[in-house]
Amino acid sequence: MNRYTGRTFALELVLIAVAAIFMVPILVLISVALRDPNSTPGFLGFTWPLHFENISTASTASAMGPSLVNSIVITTVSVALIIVVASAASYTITRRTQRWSAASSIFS
Amino acid sequence: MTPSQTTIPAPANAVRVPPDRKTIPPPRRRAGLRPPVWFVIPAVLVYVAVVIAPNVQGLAYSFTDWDGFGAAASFVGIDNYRHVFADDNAVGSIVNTFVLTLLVTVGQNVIGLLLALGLNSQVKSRYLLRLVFFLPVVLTPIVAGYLWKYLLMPEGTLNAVLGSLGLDGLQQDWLGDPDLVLYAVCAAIVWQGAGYSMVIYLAGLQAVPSEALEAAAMDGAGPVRRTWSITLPLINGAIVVNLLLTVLGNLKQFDTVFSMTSGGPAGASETMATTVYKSAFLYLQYPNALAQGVLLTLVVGVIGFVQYRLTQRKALA
Repeated sequence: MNRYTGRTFALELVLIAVAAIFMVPILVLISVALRDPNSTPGFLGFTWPLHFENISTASTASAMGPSLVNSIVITTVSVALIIVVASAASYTITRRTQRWSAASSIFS
Repeated sequence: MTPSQTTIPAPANAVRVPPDRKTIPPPRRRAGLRPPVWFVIPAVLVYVAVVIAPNVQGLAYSFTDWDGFGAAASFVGIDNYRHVFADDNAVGSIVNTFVLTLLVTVGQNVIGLLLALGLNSQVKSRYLLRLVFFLPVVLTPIVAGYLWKYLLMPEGTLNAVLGSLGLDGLQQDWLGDPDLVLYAVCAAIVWQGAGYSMVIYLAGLQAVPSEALEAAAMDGAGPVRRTWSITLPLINGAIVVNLLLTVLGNLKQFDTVFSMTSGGPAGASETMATTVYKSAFLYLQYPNALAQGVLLTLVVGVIGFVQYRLTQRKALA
């Protein structure tokens, strides 16, 4: 059952084809992000040449710096709070077998 | 000294007899191993402050004519709830939410499971393919929504691809046609969530003992029979978790729908969550929004509880 057979090769081809379809939206996203901002939008084919200035323009024009700091602060504080509070509570909840212990998992 | 504690040396070849079970207390009864209840108190306080208190306050305000500013409000009974059920758009959003939840739950779990089964085999590119299928999960739902809006607009990528293949007859206004828009939104959500389900199914599949599958194969069971009779029952836990997460997540679906269609056209893709948002922040009808929010919470809570009990019973069976 662990051999690479003709059936496995066929499965590999199918999975690669599905993966190619899955990647289309991601490729479109990258293509749009790196497109010449002065060009008319083309909906077929990957953009060329690549224009990385869109990324620097986006980071300065939309104040990405403060947004990034806000995201980091929110993530750090919430993760720290969740680890401290939830780990203590989950330890007690899982070690005790009272009725409320099972019921409490529903509220999570 | 009791007779059982006499110090007669045991012979070297003596068989060790395990002590009587009754003399050993069960782990949770042993002194010092019982965790203190106060460990739960910080979590309870946070839960009350963040979840219970706002929900109770929202529930109370849903029976008033609160204008959203200040504390002045007078009791109006169930008028706000009557308005919700008299509003065709709100009722339509409830139907849309159930349709979307059903379609996405089925689509995401079937695709996730098929991908996991395929990638749990000996294919050489399995590690790279797992990464590719998981990539959409990393995107923010808002970004995924705008991306799919770009793909599905009348002159977008999908119609351009169909045109280049000579399939002009299949070109549609995917997000402008009220009959198609909900399915288009579902496709975007399934695309983004299938990788997440796949990872949970893969974790379950990797715990399936290969001996059971090999024994079934030697008994003449084919791949479909082995999957149906051995693999699926053994990954029941992963199926339960996936169904619970998908159903509850999609009943509250907001980001992708709002960024793709804002609930349009003509409310054809409106969900309960987008209706709550619009009532509160677009039309400034706070009492209605609160009544809709309470109903949404009730629906999610009841369905989640029923599903939890049913699946828990099935998992124990």
